Amino acid sequence: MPITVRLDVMLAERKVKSKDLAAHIGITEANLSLLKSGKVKGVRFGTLEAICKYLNCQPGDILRWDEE
Amino acid sequence: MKSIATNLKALSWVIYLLLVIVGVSPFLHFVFPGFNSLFPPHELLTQYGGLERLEIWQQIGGFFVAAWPAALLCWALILILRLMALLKAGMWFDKRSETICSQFSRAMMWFVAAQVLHKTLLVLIFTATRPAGERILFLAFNLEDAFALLPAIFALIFAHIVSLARQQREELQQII
Repeated sequence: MPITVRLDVMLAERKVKSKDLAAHIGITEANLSLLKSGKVKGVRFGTLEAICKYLNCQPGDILRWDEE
Repeated sequence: MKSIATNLKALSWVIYLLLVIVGVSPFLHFVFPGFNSLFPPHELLTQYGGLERLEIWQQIGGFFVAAWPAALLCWALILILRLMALLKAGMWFDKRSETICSQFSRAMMWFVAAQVLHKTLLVLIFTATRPAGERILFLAFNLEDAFALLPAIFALIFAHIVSLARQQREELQQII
Protein backbone atom coordinates (compact mmCIF):
# COMPACT_ATOMS: atom_id res chain seq x y z
CA MET A 1 0.00 0.00 0.00
CA PRO A 2 1.48 3.41 -0.96
CA ILE A 3 0.25 5.06 2.28
CA THR A 4 2.23 3.82 5.26
CA VAL A 5 1.36 4.43 8.90
CA ARG A 6 4.34 5.57 10.96
CA LEU A 7 2.51 5.67 14.26
CA ASP A 8 4.83 3.14 15.90
CA VAL A 9 7.83 5.34 14.96
CA MET A 10 6.16 8.41 16.46
CA LEU A 11 5.23 6.49 19.63
CA ALA A 12 8.85 5.38 20.01
CA GLU A 13 10.13 8.93 19.37
CA ARG A 14 7.74 10.42 21.91
CA LYS A 15 8.27 7.51 24.32
CA VAL A 16 4.52 6.98 24.61
CA LYS A 17 2.89 3.62 25.25
CA SER A 18 0.18 2.37 22.86
CA LYS A 19 -2.02 1.73 25.87
CA ASP A 20 -1.83 5.36 27.00
CA LEU A 21 -2.50 6.71 23.51
CA ALA A 22 -5.46 4.36 23.04
CA ALA A 23 -6.92 5.44 26.37
CA HIS A 24 -6.41 9.12 25.55
CA ILE A 25 -8.00 9.07 22.11
CA GLY A 26 -10.78 6.71 23.16
CA ILE A 27 -10.20 3.68 20.95
CA THR A 28 -9.37 0.12 21.93
CA GLU A 29 -5.80 -1.17 21.96
CA ALA A 30 -6.83 -3.75 19.38
CA ASN A 31 -7.96 -1.01 16.99
CA LEU A 32 -4.83 1.02 17.66
CA SER A 33 -2.78 -2.06 16.85
CA LEU A 34 -4.69 -2.45 13.56
CA LEU A 35 -4.06 1.22 12.80
CA LYS A 36 -0.32 0.86 13.55
CA SER A 37 -0.07 -2.13 11.23
CA GLY A 38 -1.98 -0.32 8.47
CA LYS A 39 -4.70 -2.98 8.38
CA VAL A 40 -7.55 -0.47 8.33
CA LYS A 41 -9.37 1.14 5.41
CA GLY A 42 -9.24 4.63 6.84
CA VAL A 43 -8.69 6.98 9.78
CA ARG A 44 -11.32 9.44 10.97
CA PHE A 45 -10.26 13.10 11.13
CA GLY A 46 -11.31 13.05 14.80
CA THR A 47 -8.97 10.15 15.57
CA LEU A 48 -6.13 11.74 13.62
CA GLU A 49 -6.66 15.05 15.40
CA ALA A 50 -6.59 13.34 18.82
CA ILE A 51 -3.39 11.44 17.96
CA CYS A 52 -1.66 14.59 16.67
CA LYS A 53 -2.74 16.55 19.75
CA TYR A 54 -1.46 13.87 22.15
CA LEU A 55 1.82 13.26 20.30
CA ASN A 56 2.24 16.93 19.37
CA CYS A 57 2.90 16.19 15.74
CA GLN A 58 1.47 16.75 12.24
CA PRO A 59 -0.68 14.25 10.29
CA GLY A 60 2.24 13.98 7.86
CA ASP A 61 4.40 12.62 10.67
CA ILE A 62 2.00 9.70 11.08
CA LEU A 63 0.98 9.01 7.49
CA ARG A 64 3.43 8.88 4.62
CA TRP A 65 3.02 8.23 0.93
CA ASP A 66 5.64 5.91 -0.55
CA GLU A 67 6.05 5.51 -4.28
CA GLU A 68 5.61 1.84 -5.19
CA MET B 1 -37.39 1.05 19.28
CA LYS B 2 -40.05 -0.31 21.63
CA SER B 3 -42.76 0.36 19.05
CA ILE B 4 -40.75 -1.55 16.43
CA ALA B 5 -40.56 -4.55 18.78
CA THR B 6 -44.31 -4.34 19.47
CA ASN B 7 -45.10 -4.07 15.76
CA LEU B 8 -42.86 -7.03 14.99
CA LYS B 9 -44.55 -9.08 17.70
CA ALA B 10 -48.02 -8.22 16.34
CA LEU B 11 -46.88 -9.00 12.80
CA SER B 12 -45.41 -12.33 13.88
CA TRP B 13 -48.81 -13.34 15.34
CA VAL B 14 -50.45 -12.47 12.02
CA ILE B 15 -47.88 -14.63 10.25
CA TYR B 16 -48.44 -17.53 12.70
CA LEU B 17 -52.17 -17.28 11.93
CA LEU B 18 -51.48 -17.20 8.18
CA LEU B 19 -49.19 -20.23 8.58
CA VAL B 20 -52.00 -22.21 10.18
CA ILE B 21 -54.55 -21.12 7.55
CA VAL B 22 -52.21 -21.83 4.61
CA GLY B 23 -50.99 -25.08 6.20
CA VAL B 24 -54.45 -26.56 6.74
CA SER B 25 -56.02 -25.17 3.55
CA PRO B 26 -55.02 -28.14 1.28
CA PHE B 27 -56.63 -30.55 3.80
CA LEU B 28 -59.81 -28.48 4.02
CA HIS B 29 -59.90 -27.86 0.26
CA PHE B 30 -59.11 -31.39 -0.75
CA VAL B 31 -59.38 -34.00 1.99
CA PHE B 32 -62.49 -32.58 3.62
CA PRO B 33 -64.18 -30.66 0.78
CA GLY B 34 -67.20 -28.69 1.88
CA PHE B 35 -65.96 -28.59 5.51
CA ASN B 36 -67.38 -25.11 5.82
CA SER B 37 -68.17 -22.12 3.66
CA LEU B 38 -64.82 -20.48 4.44
CA PHE B 39 -62.93 -23.31 2.74
CA PRO B 40 -65.00 -24.51 -0.19
CA PRO B 41 -63.73 -27.51 -2.19
CA HIS B 42 -60.91 -26.83 -4.66
CA GLU B 43 -62.47 -25.11 -7.69
CA LEU B 44 -61.04 -27.70 -10.07
CA LEU B 45 -62.31 -30.52 -7.86
CA THR B 46 -65.87 -29.20 -8.20
CA GLN B 47 -65.38 -28.56 -11.90
CA TYR B 48 -64.25 -32.14 -12.59
CA GLY B 49 -66.95 -34.02 -10.72
CA GLY B 50 -65.91 -33.93 -7.04
CA LEU B 51 -63.80 -36.14 -4.81
CA GLU B 52 -66.12 -39.19 -4.94
CA ARG B 53 -65.63 -39.63 -8.67
CA LEU B 54 -61.83 -39.89 -8.36
CA GLU B 55 -59.84 -43.06 -7.81
CA ILE B 56 -57.71 -43.30 -4.68
CA TRP B 57 -54.41 -42.60 -6.53
CA GLN B 58 -56.02 -39.51 -8.10
CA GLN B 59 -57.17 -38.31 -4.67
CA ILE B 60 -53.71 -38.79 -3.13
CA GLY B 61 -51.90 -37.32 -6.15
CA GLY B 62 -54.36 -34.46 -6.29
CA PHE B 63 -53.83 -33.66 -2.63
CA PHE B 64 -50.04 -33.55 -2.96
CA VAL B 65 -50.25 -31.38 -6.07
CA ALA B 66 -52.72 -29.04 -4.33
CA ALA B 67 -50.46 -28.94 -1.25
CA TRP B 68 -47.38 -28.00 -3.31
CA PRO B 69 -48.06 -24.20 -3.59
CA ALA B 70 -49.31 -24.13 0.01
CA ALA B 71 -46.05 -25.74 1.20
CA LEU B 72 -44.02 -23.13 -0.69
CA LEU B 73 -46.10 -20.33 0.79
CA CYS B 74 -45.59 -21.81 4.28
CA TRP B 75 -41.84 -21.88 3.64
CA ALA B 76 -41.96 -18.21 2.57
CA LEU B 77 -43.88 -17.32 5.76
CA ILE B 78 -41.33 -19.21 7.90
CA LEU B 79 -38.58 -17.19 6.19
CA ILE B 80 -40.40 -13.95 7.09
CA LEU B 81 -40.56 -15.13 10.72
CA ARG B 82 -36.81 -15.82 10.66
CA LEU B 83 -36.15 -12.39 9.14
CA MET B 84 -38.30 -10.77 11.81
CA ALA B 85 -36.36 -12.59 14.55
CA LEU B 86 -33.14 -11.15 13.12
CA LEU B 87 -34.64 -7.65 12.90
CA LYS B 88 -35.85 -7.96 16.48
CA ALA B 89 -32.26 -8.76 17.51
CA GLY B 90 -31.13 -5.59 15.71
CA MET B 91 -29.41 -7.47 12.90
CA TRP B 92 -30.84 -5.34 10.09
CA PHE B 93 -27.81 -5.32 7.84
CA ASP B 94 -26.57 -8.81 8.46
CA LYS B 95 -25.44 -11.41 5.95
CA ARG B 96 -28.19 -13.71 7.27
CA SER B 97 -30.90 -11.08 6.62
CA GLU B 98 -29.61 -10.75 3.08
CA THR B 99 -29.68 -14.55 2.57
CA ILE B 100 -33.20 -14.85 4.00
CA CYS B 101 -34.48 -12.08 1.71
CA SER B 102 -33.01 -13.86 -1.32
CA GLN B 103 -34.49 -17.18 -0.15
CA PHE B 104 -37.89 -15.51 0.35
CA SER B 105 -37.72 -14.03 -3.13
CA ARG B 106 -36.91 -17.45 -4.63
CA ALA B 107 -39.67 -19.11 -2.57
CA MET B 108 -42.22 -16.59 -3.87
CA MET B 109 -41.09 -17.10 -7.46
CA TRP B 110 -41.45 -20.87 -7.02
CA PHE B 111 -44.86 -20.24 -5.44
CA VAL B 112 -46.01 -18.38 -8.55
CA ALA B 113 -44.69 -21.18 -10.77
CA ALA B 114 -46.36 -23.79 -8.53
CA GLN B 115 -49.59 -21.80 -8.49
CA VAL B 116 -49.71 -21.91 -12.30
CA LEU B 117 -48.45 -25.47 -12.77
CA HIS B 118 -50.46 -27.13 -9.99
CA LYS B 119 -53.68 -26.41 -11.89
CA THR B 120 -52.22 -28.03 -15.02
CA LEU B 121 -51.17 -31.11 -13.03
CA LEU B 122 -54.51 -31.31 -11.20
CA VAL B 123 -56.48 -31.28 -14.44
CA LEU B 124 -54.11 -33.91 -15.88
CA ILE B 125 -54.67 -36.12 -12.81
CA PHE B 126 -58.45 -35.56 -12.72
CA THR B 127 -58.88 -36.45 -16.40
CA ALA B 128 -56.28 -39.27 -16.49
CA THR B 129 -58.90 -42.02 -16.19
CA ARG B 130 -61.02 -40.64 -19.02
CA PRO B 131 -60.87 -42.35 -22.40
CA ALA B 132 -58.19 -41.16 -24.83
CA GLY B 133 -59.28 -37.99 -26.54
CA GLU B 134 -61.19 -36.72 -23.49
CA ARG B 135 -58.14 -36.03 -21.34
CA ILE B 136 -57.43 -32.35 -20.86
CA LEU B 137 -54.21 -30.32 -20.75
CA PHE B 138 -54.95 -26.98 -19.11
CA LEU B 139 -52.56 -24.05 -18.72
CA ALA B 140 -53.57 -20.63 -17.44
CA PHE B 141 -51.71 -17.59 -16.17
CA ASN B 142 -53.85 -14.78 -14.82
CA LEU B 143 -53.38 -11.35 -13.28
CA GLU B 144 -53.51 -12.77 -9.73
CA ASP B 145 -50.50 -14.96 -10.48
CA ALA B 146 -48.65 -11.94 -11.89
CA PHE B 147 -49.42 -9.92 -8.74
CA ALA B 148 -47.98 -12.73 -6.61
CA LEU B 149 -44.64 -11.96 -8.28
CA LEU B 150 -44.59 -8.50 -6.67
CA PRO B 151 -43.49 -9.66 -3.17
CA ALA B 152 -40.75 -11.68 -4.87
CA ILE B 153 -39.50 -8.60 -6.72
CA PHE B 154 -39.72 -6.43 -3.57
CA ALA B 155 -37.77 -9.04 -1.59
CA LEU B 156 -35.10 -9.18 -4.29
CA ILE B 157 -34.72 -5.38 -4.20
CA PHE B 158 -34.67 -5.43 -0.38
CA ALA B 159 -31.98 -8.14 -0.42
CA HIS B 160 -29.89 -5.92 -2.72
CA ILE B 161 -30.34 -2.90 -0.42
CA VAL B 162 -29.38 -5.00 2.64
CA SER B 163 -26.32 -6.27 0.76
CA LEU B 164 -25.17 -2.72 -0.09
CA ALA B 165 -25.86 -1.47 3.45
CA ARG B 166 -23.96 -4.42 4.94
CA GLN B 167 -20.94 -3.77 2.70
CA GLN B 168 -21.01 -0.09 3.66
CA ARG B 169 -21.26 -0.93 7.37
CA GLU B 170 -18.41 -3.41 7.14
CA GLU B 171 -16.29 -0.78 5.42
CA LEU B 172 -17.18 1.78 8.10
CA GLN B 173 -16.18 -0.70 10.78
CA GLN B 174 -12.71 -0.81 9.21
CA ILE B 175 -12.29 2.93 9.65
CA ILE B 176 -10.73 3.78 12.98
